[in-house]
Amino acid sequence: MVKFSLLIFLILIAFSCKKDKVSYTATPYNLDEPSHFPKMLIPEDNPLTVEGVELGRKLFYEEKLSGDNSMNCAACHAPSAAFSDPNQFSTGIDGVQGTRNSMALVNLGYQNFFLWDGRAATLEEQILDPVSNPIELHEDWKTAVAELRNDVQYKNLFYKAFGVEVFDSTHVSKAIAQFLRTMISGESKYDVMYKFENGLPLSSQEEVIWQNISNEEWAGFDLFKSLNGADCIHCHSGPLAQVQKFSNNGLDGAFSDLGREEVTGNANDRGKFKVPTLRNIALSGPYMHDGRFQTLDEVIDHYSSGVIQSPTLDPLMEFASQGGVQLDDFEKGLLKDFLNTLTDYNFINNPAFSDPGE
Amino acid sequence: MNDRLYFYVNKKKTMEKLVALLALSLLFTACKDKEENETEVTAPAKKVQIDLQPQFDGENLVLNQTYTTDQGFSVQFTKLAFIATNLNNDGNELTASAVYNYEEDGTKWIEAEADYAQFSKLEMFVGVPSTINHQDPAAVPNTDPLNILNVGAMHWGWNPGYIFVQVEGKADTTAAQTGVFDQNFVYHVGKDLNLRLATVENINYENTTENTYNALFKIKMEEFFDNGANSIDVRTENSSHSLDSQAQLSAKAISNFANAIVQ
Repeated sequence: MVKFSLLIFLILIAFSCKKDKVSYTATPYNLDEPSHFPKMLIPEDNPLTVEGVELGRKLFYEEKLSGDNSMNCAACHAPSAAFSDPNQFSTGIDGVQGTRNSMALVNLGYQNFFLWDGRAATLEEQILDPVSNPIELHEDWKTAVAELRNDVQYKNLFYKAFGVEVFDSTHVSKAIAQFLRTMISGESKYDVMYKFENGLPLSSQEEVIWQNISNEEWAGFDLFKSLNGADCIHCHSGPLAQVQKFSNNGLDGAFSDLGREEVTGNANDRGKFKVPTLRNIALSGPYMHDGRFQTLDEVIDHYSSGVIQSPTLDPLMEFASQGGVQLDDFEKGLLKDFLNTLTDYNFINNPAFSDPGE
Repeated sequence: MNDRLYFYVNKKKTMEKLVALLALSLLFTACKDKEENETEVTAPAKKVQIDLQPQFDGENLVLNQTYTTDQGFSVQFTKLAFIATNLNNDGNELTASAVYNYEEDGTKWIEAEADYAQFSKLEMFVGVPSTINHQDPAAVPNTDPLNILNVGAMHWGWNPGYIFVQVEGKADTTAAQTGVFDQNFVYHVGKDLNLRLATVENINYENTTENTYNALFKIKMEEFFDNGANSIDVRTENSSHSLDSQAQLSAKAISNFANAIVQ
């Protein structure tokens, strides 16, 4: 009986204390941000980890996220097109085309809202949309997650990233968001020009680049900034080459696509769309929310003489009454030379963003 | 039962009881109980909240709604935004900087931990002083309103600096007032020389919660255009980006705006 009591006593000791949980330890990810960029705001409920980023990268290229296992995120956000779609509209798994051009995935960690009409307030929210959208990946999230759960490799990766054995769509979204936040573009010729004009120190590599910036590119930059020139800087400025706002930039007089109004219901938002970044703009055509312009030349022509007035036209389109800023051919050439400086080859060719394979 | 056996039986029973008691006591004490710290209940910090309501002729201004200037022109405002810095009373700082954007934030402007009793008057710069106007907006802490991600479109670049005031909209400047808004107006005023001081005195606060005292300021936007010798004719003076050639208009615009901030 004594032995029995002692046994009970030992069992009670063993179980009476609240066991400490066996905790997983994800490795913090050291995000390498350009020195002239603002510090990225990372949501507290989704810190960057090495394991999360690795998982997110794999999921970005995962075809199980589509209804027929034929498409993934990269299908409409191709690395070769600066993570946009070289087609005017993307085609989903059912052969149905969308109505807006796929936006380039770059510097997303610095954005305040997502998609052309800003209907997604966070990156995690935006990522949920394409999977279930019937004209895109057209997959039920429950089914997608079930397929991933059946894969032992994914089970391990999700555990390593989030410490969960049973994961769901929120974990998928968080992982992809972590990966996307690492996709920072800040090493173009434009960045050297930006740093130089603001008196920031250049590295030895940047010094070499600086020495090779042409007079035409500098002149194009001046035109870009000039309020009496191309006047682009009101909407495309700073290290992100964009301001965070919606704008009607004079594409139409009447609107079949209401843009931001579809989200707010406010007629004063009619025809307004998110101002995109100009980073890698030479590679991310076609242009505008509906991909109507195939080339940068067409874009420049629009702002030069093709602006159409409407009640919600951005007041910053100050030369709208004369059709636009009225650049001559020489000036258009200079402006295009400058726009080409926004191409960041290190970003486009970064192996950390490519398909990791099996 | 002989004595030896009885003793053994008793001793055994006693041991059992002791072990059970020990087990029970250990059950209750083995886990390190959380110490019940006696936490001191402290009063929540006092807060000052200042809201800002643009008005036109005494009515709360609605963006994209039509108002009439003294000159008889119909105007609609589409954007009202400004940066205030060094908000203080006699050296007591309320907050170092605040960005106001009517379109995005409505009337919400400032919330700071402060004792309202120290702020019966408030002085502020409308704009950013030259000492920080040319700083790297990306290097400013994320929580600072002057960080590039927070200030949004109110920054031209390092050299010219921040845009102190943005007033945008459209106007019907036709003689017959046809209702066709033929003219946009854009006033983007910045640059060091256009820094202005604004003062609001005899501030009345309302105690809205246990620890929060709220004041409501107004921006009398009719005074932006109609201001005696400083009036702005929206027909001919409808654009300024603070270029040298626009110095006079820029100065009028920001002075009128700063003076329009009242309670």
